[in-house]
Amino acid sequence: MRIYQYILAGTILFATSCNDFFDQTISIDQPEYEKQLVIHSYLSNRDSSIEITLSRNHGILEPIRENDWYIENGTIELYKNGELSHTLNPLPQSASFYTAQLTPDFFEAGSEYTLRASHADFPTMEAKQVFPAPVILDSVRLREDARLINGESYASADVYFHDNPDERNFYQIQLEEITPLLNPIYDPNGNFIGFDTIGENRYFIYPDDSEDPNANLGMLRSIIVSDEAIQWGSL
Amino acid sequence: MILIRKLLFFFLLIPFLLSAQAPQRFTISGYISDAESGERLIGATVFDKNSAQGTISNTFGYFSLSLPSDSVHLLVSYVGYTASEQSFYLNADQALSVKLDPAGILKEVEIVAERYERIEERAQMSRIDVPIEQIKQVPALLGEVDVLKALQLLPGVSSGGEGQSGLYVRGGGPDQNLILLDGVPVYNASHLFGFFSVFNADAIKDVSLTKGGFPARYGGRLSSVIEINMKEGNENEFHGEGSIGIVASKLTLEGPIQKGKSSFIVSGRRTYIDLLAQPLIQASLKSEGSEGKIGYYFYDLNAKVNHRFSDKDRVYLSFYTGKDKFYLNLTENYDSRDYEDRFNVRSGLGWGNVTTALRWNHIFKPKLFANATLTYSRYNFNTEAGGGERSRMLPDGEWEESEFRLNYFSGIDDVAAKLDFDYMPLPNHLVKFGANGIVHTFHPGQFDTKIVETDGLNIETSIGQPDVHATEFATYVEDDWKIGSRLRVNYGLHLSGFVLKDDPYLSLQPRLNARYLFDGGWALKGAFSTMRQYIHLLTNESIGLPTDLWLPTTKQVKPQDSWQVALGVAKTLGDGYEFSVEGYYKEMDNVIAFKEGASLFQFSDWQSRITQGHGNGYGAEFFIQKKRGRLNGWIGYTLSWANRQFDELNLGREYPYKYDRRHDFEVVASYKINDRIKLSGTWVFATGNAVTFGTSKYLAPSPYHDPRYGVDWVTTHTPVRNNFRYQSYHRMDFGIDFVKQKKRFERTWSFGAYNAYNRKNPFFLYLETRSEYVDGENIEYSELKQASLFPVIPYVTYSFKF
Repeated sequence: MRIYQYILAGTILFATSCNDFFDQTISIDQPEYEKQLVIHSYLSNRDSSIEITLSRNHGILEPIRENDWYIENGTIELYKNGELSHTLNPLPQSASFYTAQLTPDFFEAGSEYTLRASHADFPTMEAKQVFPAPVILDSVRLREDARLINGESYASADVYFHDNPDERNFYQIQLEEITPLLNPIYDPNGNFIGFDTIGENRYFIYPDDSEDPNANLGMLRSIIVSDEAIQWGSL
Repeated sequence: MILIRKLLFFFLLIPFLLSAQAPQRFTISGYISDAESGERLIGATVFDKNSAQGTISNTFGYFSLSLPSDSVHLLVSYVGYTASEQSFYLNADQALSVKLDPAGILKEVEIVAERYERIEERAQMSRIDVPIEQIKQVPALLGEVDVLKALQLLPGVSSGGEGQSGLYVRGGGPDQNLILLDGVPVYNASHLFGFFSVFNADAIKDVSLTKGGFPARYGGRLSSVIEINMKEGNENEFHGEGSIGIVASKLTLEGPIQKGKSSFIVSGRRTYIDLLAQPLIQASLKSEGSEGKIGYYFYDLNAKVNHRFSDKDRVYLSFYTGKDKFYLNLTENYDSRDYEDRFNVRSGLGWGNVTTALRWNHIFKPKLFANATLTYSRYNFNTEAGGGERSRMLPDGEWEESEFRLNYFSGIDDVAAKLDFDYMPLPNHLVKFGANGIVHTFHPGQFDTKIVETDGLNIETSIGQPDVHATEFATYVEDDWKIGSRLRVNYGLHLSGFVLKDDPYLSLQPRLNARYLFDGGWALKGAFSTMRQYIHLLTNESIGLPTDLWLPTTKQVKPQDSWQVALGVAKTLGDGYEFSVEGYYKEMDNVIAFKEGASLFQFSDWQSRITQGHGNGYGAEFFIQKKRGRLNGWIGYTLSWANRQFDELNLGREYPYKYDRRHDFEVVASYKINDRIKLSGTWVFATGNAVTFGTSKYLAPSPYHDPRYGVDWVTTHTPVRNNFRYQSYHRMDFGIDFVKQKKRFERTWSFGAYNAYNRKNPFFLYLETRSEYVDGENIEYSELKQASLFPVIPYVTYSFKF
């Protein structure tokens, strides 16, 4: 038996001595890619302004300087139903943010909005969106301790609403937990006498079932689901 | 259904009609076996020199040849054996069992079998037989002879990656191979994450791979059928062989139970890295204040008995079980002056197969041979994680205890029955027909959790999907018809069905192989086959994880279908060099893949995690093989393309399959210098696997931040799937055997090396990013790195035979 232990020890020694074998840097040319502008924005009819970041892409193997991401002297225009409505201006404190003030009823269901970004060194980029009709929730049911996974209790939220079967829709569902922001109250002698509610804390809840391939993780910890992935039925 | 019945009836009728027109004939029939061991010889040739008619023995060594009443000069031959010749006058049915003497490899140079079924004579194409002795000569990782890895060295077959035993045949997936051990499907053929296969070469008699031109008797998978037959056991003398290697030892015993009538073989293999490493592990644990055991092992056990009840009846019972097991059991003490605490962690991972086959050969008439088979196959995967804690305040506090346990179980069970007939109405017809049924029980995966605490908490719950029962059935008829001396066809129909609850599927699959023999011995071959597959494998494609999940066709998940055409030429050149060139084109429908973002390790319904699409594979294969002689081996080259297209992936556009290999070249050679020294070597070269690799980067908002406050997440943009290639794979292995005949046994010392010139072959690629401050500015650099797995790995094995 002893001889095999020597063989094993020798093998381990050999393997560890080959440590630099297991990794090596590959030399390849930067794969071809198209230089593009990248725009990010979130349109909401609850906002009175629109803010957009304008950046660019880089080759996967190119060295990138910290300040090389953002495009500061681009032009961004906002069109409503094909007509120019706003030209966005860079924010004074950060030239990579572009903004415009909006009227309260600017975003209307059914209207088409186009963002067009241009820069002398890049091809013009355009993003279009037809503003959807608001989704009216029929009801929401929250169940605590709905599932037990690995001994850990999970809550679930059932959201009920109507989907138009003639349309291809995507829904963004976001859960927010609101807890009171409390301030302790003390009597003149410094004794604690209770709490005063001075505000509220809001947390977006991370949906645990986001592993479902039919549910994509959206911004602000939301999930985005296609109506094709939902088992529709009447209650 | 009426059409199907008519077609089947027509097929069955043809040989009978032909038989009715023939003059009076008598049948010579019997078994061909090895004179020393009694092992039946599969594919041995029986040839009448006078009439130039012949046949070959079937899987059980049985042959039947009907000839006109006349004088017969019968030549029985098999590659590697001394031919047997007999002359007699045939005026009645004749039972004839032939025992052939194995020719030593050196002797064989002088005694070349005059006649055996050459590659150009067979109608079937895209089939390769590899003698097990040749497989044993292939140098292997850590000296462990591996049947599946030897098959990876054949043209048209790709390996999954470095060290893996997965097979990708003509652009097909790993689930599309039907691996049969004595006729029983083996669902997971991997040990140790695919670094070894489950087949112990010492217990195996022969191996064949069919990758196209499927005869009608085969069904159930799209891409290949790998038939592995276990030895039957020496029915004349008691023998044994074994080996001691770096990672495992093997022992095989075989012998007669009742001389000349029944025999047995038992073969076992076990790794002992866990036992050898235990002192090192113990020392390491002790230094960290723990006690317990950590280890891994696998074992295989093959057993087979057979008994000849009469000249017409023989029964075989074969059994295989194999298991892999990781285990960890640790105890840690956290004691202090006023507190006592015992913490225990247990974890285990186990997977394995069990297969059993009961086969009964019966000769109804010399022309009609039947084989009835009952089989059971089981693959299961278990994992458990658990532990507990006991603690108390000293000196006399009450013990507080808690315990937790998580178990996961998945697998598949098959119970099957099969009835196959070989009917030889005329020397130029061999009709095979039969039927089979399989009852599948799928275990799609279940988690059991238990938590118990002293304070009263007691949680016990199960999450998972219930077992699914399904029935698969098939019937077939095929005829191997020699039409004159030049044309030979193998044509047939395979009808299969699958029933899951009330959702039946039916499929009629025509099959055709044809050969035309030109002057000079060149054969032109063509084949067409359609296949259907009712079961699907959810797997991680990179390494052979035991979590592979076999799942049924359902109403939502359709069966996979394929059709394949092949055209080629074949000829035996010179001293037994079989040469073939084949071109093929294969289309596959309803192949499965995970949806974007989905993976194996998720709780949701498996049906919602997959998508079905289309695949194709086409290319050309060149192959030259020499099976016997002082120098033997093969050279193979494959030029191929393999693609996939899914509506839900890659924007619906076609992309190269991960195992799309433009070039695949292999040389396998073994040379016997003399009776005491044998050399062997392999060299392989293959185009690198296709992988998905981003071409550019951009900033995006992370899901955790409001984009109105900035975008901060560097995201990779990948224009298309599998747009990048690993570096080419190449590797050389070599081995040398020193054989010595001792007084009571023969011993062999084998030395060799895997990856002899220490090639850094790619195992996976990753992008490494680092930041540097230059002139007060942060610069991000990215480098592509390749991880390799195996450097040069030497081996030494001691083996013996008595």
